[in-house]
Amino acid sequence: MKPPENKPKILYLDDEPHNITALRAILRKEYEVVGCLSISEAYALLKEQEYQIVVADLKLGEDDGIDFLDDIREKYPRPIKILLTAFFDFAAAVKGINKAKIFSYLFKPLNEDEVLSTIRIAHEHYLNNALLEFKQDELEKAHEELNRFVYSASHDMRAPLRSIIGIIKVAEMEGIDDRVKHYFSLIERSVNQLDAFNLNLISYFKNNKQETVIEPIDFKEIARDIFEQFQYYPGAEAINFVINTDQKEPWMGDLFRIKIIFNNLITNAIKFQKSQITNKHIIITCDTTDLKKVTLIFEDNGIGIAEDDQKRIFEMFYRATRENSGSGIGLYIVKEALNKIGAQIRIESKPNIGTKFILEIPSKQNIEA
Amino acid sequence: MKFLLIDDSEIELYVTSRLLENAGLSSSVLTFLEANDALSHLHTIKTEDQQLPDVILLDIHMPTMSGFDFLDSYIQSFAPVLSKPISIIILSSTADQKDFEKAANYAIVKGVFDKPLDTGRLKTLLEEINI
Repeated sequence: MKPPENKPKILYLDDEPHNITALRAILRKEYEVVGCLSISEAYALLKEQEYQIVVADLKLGEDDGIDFLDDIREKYPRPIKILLTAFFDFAAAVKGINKAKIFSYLFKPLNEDEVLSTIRIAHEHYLNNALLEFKQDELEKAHEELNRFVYSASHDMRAPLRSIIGIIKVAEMEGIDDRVKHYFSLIERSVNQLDAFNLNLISYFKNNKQETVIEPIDFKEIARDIFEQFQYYPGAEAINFVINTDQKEPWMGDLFRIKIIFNNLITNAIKFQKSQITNKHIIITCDTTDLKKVTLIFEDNGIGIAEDDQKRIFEMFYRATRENSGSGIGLYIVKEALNKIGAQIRIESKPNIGTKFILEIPSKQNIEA
Repeated sequence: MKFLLIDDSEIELYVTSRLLENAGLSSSVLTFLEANDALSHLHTIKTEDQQLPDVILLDIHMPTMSGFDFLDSYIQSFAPVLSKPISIIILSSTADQKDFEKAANYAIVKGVFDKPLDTGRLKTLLEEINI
């Protein structure tokens, strides 16, 4: 038995029945033409099933074929729209293209070759659109899955990493000789690095997903908390950490993303210190005098960034130095978070002298006002 | 002080037990790999104050019965028949801020800790809540 034929469907609106018969005769081998004589009938048919192509006559008694095609555009965006006219009407053509987004014209009396080729091209256009739509859905799904994978993988990796740190702590408490102690401290450092990378991936994922929540922010408190959290980092205790702020009242903003930004800039300033010098410092300046924005400066006297690298440090996984064990994701996440809150970042840096990041974050009230 | 630990990882149970003992915080430590088993055990000793733990350290993400499931059953069926208050402390490596917030919303949860257990911080907390 032959499977039922699944021909592409064309809805044809024309108030003259013999035109419908004529078009159906031309297209019957390749297409199923469903004819209707009035706009209300056309609406009813559109509701029942999907058409690949809709053809409408320009003159429909009182009604206008262009208005009909324009009218169905929003609700039925997929079918390709073709207008049928008895003579070339310039004004109608302009209106058809500009307003109703008509794909093509057909002229009466119908010429068989012209009709077939126009309809075939329209159908091809329909198929391309459908394919594009399908690919886009797939892409979105794949992107979503990738995000979810990264997120859950980072979460799952965290538990065993924390176990390792726990075991090292137990071993240290129970007494081990100095050599082993040294090895354990190296393991601990590596594990903490991996864990920090993991947490970075999680914050990258969240930065993409999380809605903006506006909360009161105390910049000094955020900076202090983060600096204290990273006291374990080798050499961190020798850094003079200074916060200059004129902030007297809470500043309203996206606390979650501002924390991501502070976290990465401060840990970078801690990590990329020069090892030999004794007067290491990190200075954070917070200026809220301009009500439209807050200006934050993160300054250190660390190893600095070469000019060529300065353009690239915000790229994903770009690492400007072999020294230190960054993964190259931190500043990328900073940039992504800054983008989400509409903030700007500038860098001033000289190798061996130090680095200054200057941030300008627009205040929320002004964006809304 | 008597501790009861619930965690689906044997390594975690071992590490936390040793940390507690080495810090001199615990007189006894009872461990459970399944929150369900811990709950049944608590039910069998609910009237015997001498045997009941002072502190429960609870993980969040566990198969079959999660830390939150445990808290819900505990509040519903166990806490009302209990003669002595037990402090519950969350010990989890979750990186999800929402987990912390959810846990902190339980009135019976006295603290939320990242792994591995910071025994110094635990000691301070237990002194504050007066156990």
